[in-house]
Amino acid sequence: MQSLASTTVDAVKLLLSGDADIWNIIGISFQISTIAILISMVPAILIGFILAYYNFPGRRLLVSIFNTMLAVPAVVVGLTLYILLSRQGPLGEWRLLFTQTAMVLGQIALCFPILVAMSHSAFQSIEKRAWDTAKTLAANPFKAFFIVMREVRFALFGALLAGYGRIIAEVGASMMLGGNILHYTRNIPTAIALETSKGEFAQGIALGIILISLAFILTIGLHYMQGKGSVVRD
Amino acid sequence: MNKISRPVRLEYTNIVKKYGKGKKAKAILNDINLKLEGGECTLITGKNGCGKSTLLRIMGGLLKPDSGMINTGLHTLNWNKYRKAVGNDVMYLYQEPYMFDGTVRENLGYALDNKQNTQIIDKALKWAELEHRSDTQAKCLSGGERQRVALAQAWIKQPAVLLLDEPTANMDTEHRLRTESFLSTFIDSGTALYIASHDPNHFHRIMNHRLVIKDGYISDFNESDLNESEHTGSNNDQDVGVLTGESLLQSNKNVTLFPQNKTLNFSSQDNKQ
Amino acid sequence: MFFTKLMKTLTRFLLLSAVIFSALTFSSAAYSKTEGDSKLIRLATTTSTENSGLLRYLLPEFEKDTGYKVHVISVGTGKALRMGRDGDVDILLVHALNAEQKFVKEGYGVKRYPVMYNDFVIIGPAKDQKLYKDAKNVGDVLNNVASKKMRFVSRGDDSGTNKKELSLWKGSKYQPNSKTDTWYVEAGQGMGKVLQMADEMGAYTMTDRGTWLAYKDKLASKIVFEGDETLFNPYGIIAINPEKYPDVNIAGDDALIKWITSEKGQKLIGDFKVADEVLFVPNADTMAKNETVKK
Repeated sequence: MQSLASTTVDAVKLLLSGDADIWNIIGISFQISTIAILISMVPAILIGFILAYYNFPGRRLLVSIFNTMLAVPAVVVGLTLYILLSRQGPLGEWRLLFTQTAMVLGQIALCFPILVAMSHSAFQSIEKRAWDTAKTLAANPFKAFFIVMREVRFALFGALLAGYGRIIAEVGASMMLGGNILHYTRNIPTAIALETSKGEFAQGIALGIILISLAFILTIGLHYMQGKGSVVRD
Repeated sequence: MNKISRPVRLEYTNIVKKYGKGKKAKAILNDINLKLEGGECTLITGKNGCGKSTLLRIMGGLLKPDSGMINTGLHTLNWNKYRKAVGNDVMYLYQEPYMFDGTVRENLGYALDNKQNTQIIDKALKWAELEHRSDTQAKCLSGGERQRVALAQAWIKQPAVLLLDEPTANMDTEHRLRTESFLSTFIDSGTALYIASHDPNHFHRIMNHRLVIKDGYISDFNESDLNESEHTGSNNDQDVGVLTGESLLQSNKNVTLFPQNKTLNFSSQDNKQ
Repeated sequence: MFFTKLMKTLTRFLLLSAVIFSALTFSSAAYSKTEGDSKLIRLATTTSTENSGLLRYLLPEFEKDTGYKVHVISVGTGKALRMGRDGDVDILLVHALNAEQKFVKEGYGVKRYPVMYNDFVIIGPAKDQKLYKDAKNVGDVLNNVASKKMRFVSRGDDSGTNKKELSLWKGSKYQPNSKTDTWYVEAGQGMGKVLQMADEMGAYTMTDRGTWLAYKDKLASKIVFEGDETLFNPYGIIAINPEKYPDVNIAGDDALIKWITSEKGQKLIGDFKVADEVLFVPNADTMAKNETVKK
């Protein structure tokens, strides 16, 4: 067994050498997770907003559903989508299994509840008076929505960061839905799982370094946003 | 400030609002009837908790009444239509207006329609005597300044109806008079003003009518109410309108009070004749 | 003004995400329509072929020669067969002869073609190496392990290797049961993981030679037994039956089968080396033992 130190040195060398495979894997990871978060963001924030300010029958049920979905493990989400997308499943006709689209769908399913729950609490964090004032000021509800959205923008950015953090590092659903196909659906977490099982620890650690750096940046960002948010709420 | 182009006429009939549910429900507003007319100022008084704020919030579309009718004179509006119309024509000002994160200028910008240019913000700042504050964070303003920001927002929006909940609570006389003079601009331009105040003697310079809410019913203000609220010095020189909703709506005067040619409807959708 | 700026940024953001999304759906749709129906082959295979590096060495040649693109999904044989049965892939390259024959017989596969074989080896603690100098067959080794209750790590994941191991136990005197035999461990992991586990635990395990070669420098374990014919591990390639799943890329499957069993493909397999050792022996010209497939 190689020592951790020498493996880490190898890993850093691998990253700096611009190893095409590694950077391809990193690119795929960011591409898929970014698309997933971009697609989820708008409807999730809207739902969070509606849950916070509108009362309708079934609202509480919906809130509990999203909170429950938060706790569903990624592998279960992956398995459910796998069954749906498999040729034997109801959506088999789409032939989406083992494609990037399937991975994007999986990651959307994972980050959507986070985005909804966190934007819900973001909108709840300001007084009801803010929403009423926005409604009085703005020409239409849509514009009023943007006014309160701006009011809680830091908390919303925080939600996006948290959602991104979950999906970029998630292995179970990506492995099942993407199939870990080299240069196509192999992203950072699935590659780490594979390289470790092959005993290629240097590659695994190189990718791990990328993930850790990202987690670090996201956490600092989140911290900063939360700090900002509390000042704003005042 | 231009004369507003849509003087409003609104009648609220049989407005009821209860708090609580089922048998425990307690009516705070019982069969309220009143009307609004552009260019007039109405003062609503009553003891704390009598339902002044509740009524204003209903009129502002922020609170749904349990029952009642809202009529433009030509059409009856259901609550949803009314609430939509409220967005552009009725403005409700909180006692302590909410300031959004950002500068005073940005807060005023929220009241702009997309079409309007930003020059109007400068005019509004000048009108509200807030020019020196234009780049201050609105959340850092004093209570009086916040109120002026809210008034400047109203000035930009030029609502047909302006509802104010205790706008001069905790103000000394000097500041109250200053607020009054700001408010008179709205009256002059044809806005219908509704002010809720616990003190029936405030705003006597600008008001046209004075109503009182008592036990969930609204009625014309009279001297006995004054004694009851333990304030002295009535303002008999003021034109205190006889505006008990029911009598007015049932009387034939209705027609003369609202000549058709002067009336524009509340919602443009309802305006098609 | 901040608000208008924000509105603009947001609108741009929304537009951008809409564009990216449509581009993505478009491209993936294009993939599955044009590439998928004609130029894309989805190959489900075992971890051993992918992890040893064979496919990364072989497939670019195939892609260059034929213009097809192969997406490799490497899983355990059991999972690969399941994917084939569900029609989620176009072709299988696996090593579990009995299961493969059953797969074809049930009509899920068109035909099994032999491609190559490698062999399995039994590894164990280095100090035990001399114990098995005189062992005649793999049964003797397993009997010894079982009688002395020495630790044995099984894949326990229904993979081809796992199936092979279980069949070897059937030929021995003892049938281990992971519930009652504490020395017999079911790992539920891939071959590499199991090798690492066995090494850490000072245990025995059975592995394919390819994975062993990839790992042996990092491990203290040694081969304790090899070369028995029952340890040979034939690989077969099976196209998924288009009668079951009409949009299987059967043309691509045929091209891949033809290429991999051709002289060129077979020579490339024979030339493939890991740590200077040949891993796979091409055998497309011979029908594997016990194989009964109608011509």
